[in-house]
Amino acid sequence: MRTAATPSDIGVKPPLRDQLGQVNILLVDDRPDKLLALTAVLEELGQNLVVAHSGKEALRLLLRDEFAVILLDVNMPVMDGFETAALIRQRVRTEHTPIIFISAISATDTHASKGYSLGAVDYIFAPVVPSILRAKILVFIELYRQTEELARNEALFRRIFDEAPIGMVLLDEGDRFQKVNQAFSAMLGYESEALGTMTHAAITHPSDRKRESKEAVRLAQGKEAVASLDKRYLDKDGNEVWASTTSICIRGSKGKETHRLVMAKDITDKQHIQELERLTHQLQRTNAELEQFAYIAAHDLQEPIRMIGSFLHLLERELGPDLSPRAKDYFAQVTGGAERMNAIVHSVLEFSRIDADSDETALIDTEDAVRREVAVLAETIAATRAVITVGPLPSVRCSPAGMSRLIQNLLSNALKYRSKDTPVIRVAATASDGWVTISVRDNGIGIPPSQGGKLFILFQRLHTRNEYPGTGIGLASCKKIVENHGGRIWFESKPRHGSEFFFTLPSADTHTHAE
Amino acid sequence: MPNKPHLLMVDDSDGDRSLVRIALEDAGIEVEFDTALDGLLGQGHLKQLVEAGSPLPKAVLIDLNMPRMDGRQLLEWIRSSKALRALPVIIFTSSNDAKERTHCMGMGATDYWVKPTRFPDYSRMVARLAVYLKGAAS
Repeated sequence: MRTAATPSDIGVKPPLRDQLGQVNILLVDDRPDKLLALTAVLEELGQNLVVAHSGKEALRLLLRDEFAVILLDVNMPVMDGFETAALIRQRVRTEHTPIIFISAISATDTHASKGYSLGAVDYIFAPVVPSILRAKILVFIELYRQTEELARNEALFRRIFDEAPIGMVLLDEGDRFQKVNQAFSAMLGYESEALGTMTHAAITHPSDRKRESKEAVRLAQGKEAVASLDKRYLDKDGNEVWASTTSICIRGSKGKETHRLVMAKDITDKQHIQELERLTHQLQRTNAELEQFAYIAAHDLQEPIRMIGSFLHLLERELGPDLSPRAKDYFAQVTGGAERMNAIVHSVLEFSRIDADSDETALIDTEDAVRREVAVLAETIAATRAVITVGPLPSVRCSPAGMSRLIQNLLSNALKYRSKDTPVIRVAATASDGWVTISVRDNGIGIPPSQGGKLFILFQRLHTRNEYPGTGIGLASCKKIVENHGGRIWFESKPRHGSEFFFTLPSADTHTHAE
Repeated sequence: MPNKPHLLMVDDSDGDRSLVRIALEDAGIEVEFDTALDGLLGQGHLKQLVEAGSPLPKAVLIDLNMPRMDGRQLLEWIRSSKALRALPVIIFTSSNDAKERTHCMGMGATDYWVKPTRFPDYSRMVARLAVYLKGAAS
């Protein structure tokens, strides 16, 4: 996590100039008349002149404010100019503040050299020539302003570097970290101090090191101004972190590379998304291939199964009277097997066609669709004396083949899994928010709660074939059809009291989802 | 038996051709049962009949999926031929796909029958074929 910079990072220094852009100049002399004379000379520079009457006072003022330059009288009682200068130099804050000594003592080199050894930038003898003093002071004012501007710029760039939302590092010639910003340490989970002892290559994925060093060489040779590279870092825990990096070469005065600035944006998420997209695409392709395979296999199996069933029948007829009861039973077993195989192949074929069928949706008159399926099941309905009521059903959007299969599967299940009572089946519907919920309720044997999870899974059956025949494909087909149209399917059931299946489909007045 | 009606079955499945033949025999239907093993051979057979001015079959049973020339192509060729335009063509396939049925009927098939899965149903089917065979003499 990135944290905001503390104010001390940003402010760096107290204001050096007031609103008029004046800088402070400190004049130190024990004699008020001389201070007055200096003030008269320097006033026209338009700067803020501050006077001190002793070394002690000067030191106090230097604690409070910053000064562009100090004019210091050498001959002062108690603490002379040299002593004062020595103390000024001892303080970190004023270590580099320019000091100009002013001395009435006639030209003796010893004094002047003592002054220079104490860090004086100049040594002037009184009486001063006003224009020369002003010219000298002006140089220091300008120098001060430039330094101040530099400091401000540096603070600005440091802040940009530290606060940038992308990772930034400054590397020296030896690939070692000189500066590391917060985003970069956060990206890899390192403290910036920890990186200080490492090289950039050390946190680069071994497989990407060669590419990276090649780029660095091209940059250093000036073959490229900017190098861009998508690469992997290794975070503190050794995990891969994908980053899109941009590097530039920073050159010293002789044009030789001194530093390399690397900016790195974390694109791990993007890489993950791309990887997910690739996998999804692969899955879709595999799925389509499997469906195609199932279709072809089931389709081609139909012929041999038909042959087995039909020729068995002919064989049995041929042998006819010669067959023992046991042989007749064997024939019945094989014929039954062929018929079941045929039913399975038929269901698989239908299941594999659902996706292709779902592409063609139409406006379906639901009541009409239910009536048609009731007619198909007329024989079973008559045999079981089932009572089927069909409530008002709003129209829906669905593939016609899918709708037919949905209703047929649910109605035939309601008839098949009947209890000892006369089957009473009710088809009803409710509509809301662009969706129609259709329900098929029966008074059959119901579904044990523990078994409900298996219900919509392909080839999962709750009963043995002897209890109820079936292939375990019907409800899986229903689920696939409904979900292909963006709807869902579920059921409510109480064992021995019946079940109610619900499914949702887009209502007729809504436009279908993208196809 | 010079005046027996002809029936042409174009199907690459030996079993299916046998079953239809047996069902026809079982039903005692008087018919010349001609067969072709794929669409191309079926087309050749019909071309020959047309060129020679021989009597055409009373009906043609055509399977859909066959090598070289499939049933759809053969149906299309038959319907584009002047001499065969009125020939009863029954698509005889294992596919009960509604789209396939619509497509074939749209291309001019006379009927679309799904191959039976049990032999007794072949007998029922052959009874329907007999109607075509008894049709107007050519």
